[in-house]
Amino acid sequence: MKIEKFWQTKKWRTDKIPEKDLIDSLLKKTFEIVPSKQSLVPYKIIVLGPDSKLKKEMKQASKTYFQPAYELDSPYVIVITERKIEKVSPSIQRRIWKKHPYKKIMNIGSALIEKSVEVGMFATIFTELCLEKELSLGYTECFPDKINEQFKDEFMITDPFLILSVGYSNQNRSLKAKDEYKPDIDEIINYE
Amino acid sequence: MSNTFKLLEDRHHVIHYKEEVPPKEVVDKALWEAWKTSPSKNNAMPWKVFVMGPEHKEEKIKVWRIIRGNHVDREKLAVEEGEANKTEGGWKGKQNPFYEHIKTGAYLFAIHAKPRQPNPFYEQQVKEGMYFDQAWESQINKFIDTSAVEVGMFIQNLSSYLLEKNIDVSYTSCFYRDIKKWHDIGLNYAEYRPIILMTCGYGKSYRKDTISSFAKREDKKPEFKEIVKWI
Repeated sequence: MKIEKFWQTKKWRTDKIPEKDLIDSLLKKTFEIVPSKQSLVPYKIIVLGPDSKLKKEMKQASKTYFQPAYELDSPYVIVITERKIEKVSPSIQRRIWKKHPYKKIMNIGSALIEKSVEVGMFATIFTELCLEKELSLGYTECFPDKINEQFKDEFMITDPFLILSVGYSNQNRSLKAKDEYKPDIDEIINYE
Repeated sequence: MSNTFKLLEDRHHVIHYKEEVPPKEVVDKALWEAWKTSPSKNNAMPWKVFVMGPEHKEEKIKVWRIIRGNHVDREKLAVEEGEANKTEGGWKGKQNPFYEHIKTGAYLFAIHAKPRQPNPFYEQQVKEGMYFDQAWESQINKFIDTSAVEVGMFIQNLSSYLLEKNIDVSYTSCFYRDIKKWHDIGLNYAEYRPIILMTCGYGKSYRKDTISSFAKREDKKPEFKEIVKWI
């Protein structure tokens, strides 16, 4: 698996930008194979490309905050946020007509754990497909609150689940400090 | 075609697993690889994977009861809240077959929330004023959504490593969220709320082979353009 070569990228090449078609095809492939409970896909994916005016505005706004949003430096910024489900497949629609309780997962702000797990699965498959094409990625889970506040009407309904930065890396190693490591595997995996 | 695409395209939800058990060392290696390759905010990994192997048949049945009980209760609640006008008794009066994998999977991975102390790097940052919310039990309900994104990454990596070894995997996210319900029936291994359940083994029967032709044709995802928007 290519994921073994993954590190968090923060510096991006500006002389070499991935083609839009490549990113779009990788998103399509990911979407095709990612599992989703009852095929609902309760999230949406907003792509801010290299020429996105909105991305530039967000970058400009971030300069006024305490923590600059470095994740906006990459050529492609992919924001994954909640999706209000208004249209469903005929199979699910039939169950809704039969009064099957789908309200919880379809509503904004509910079933966030289930939605988050699915987003993590999407991000991981997309990452693997990007790495196969020599692309690099960065993940962000904390987006400045003020950016959310200022730009949410543009495309976000709630805080994003995850932000992916994608492009060609300008780093030749991980920028992680040596004493910044995960908990030991014995603390994470427990055989009963 | 991409190796990853082919591998994941061939994955299907398992109804029943075979009795044959995948070698423990293969499962163990896949868990190690998933742990190694899955990222975590502040390297906290504020969750824990409880592995129930082939010898834990009784515990798996208890977990299945947690799922079944939740399904029945959710239906009753939906009627009480006006979202439904009748219950199906869990699954048309029968047992929902899509939860059977919990009982027959050779390995059941139950992933629960777990607060974590910072590593030396973040310990230093905390001294300088950083708030490390993943360390606090009282904050679990606030950080669990970000933890769940990471858990999704972990189970996806674990799935890929197992699928590479021709071991099938399946998931369930329907169960009681309240850990007290787990403790009440003797599932005392975890202290905190569950996030996801995953099983692995060699598949004997799959959901794709049991659903109606209508479901096969129409039970599909929304259109790509409904999910992805370029700005």
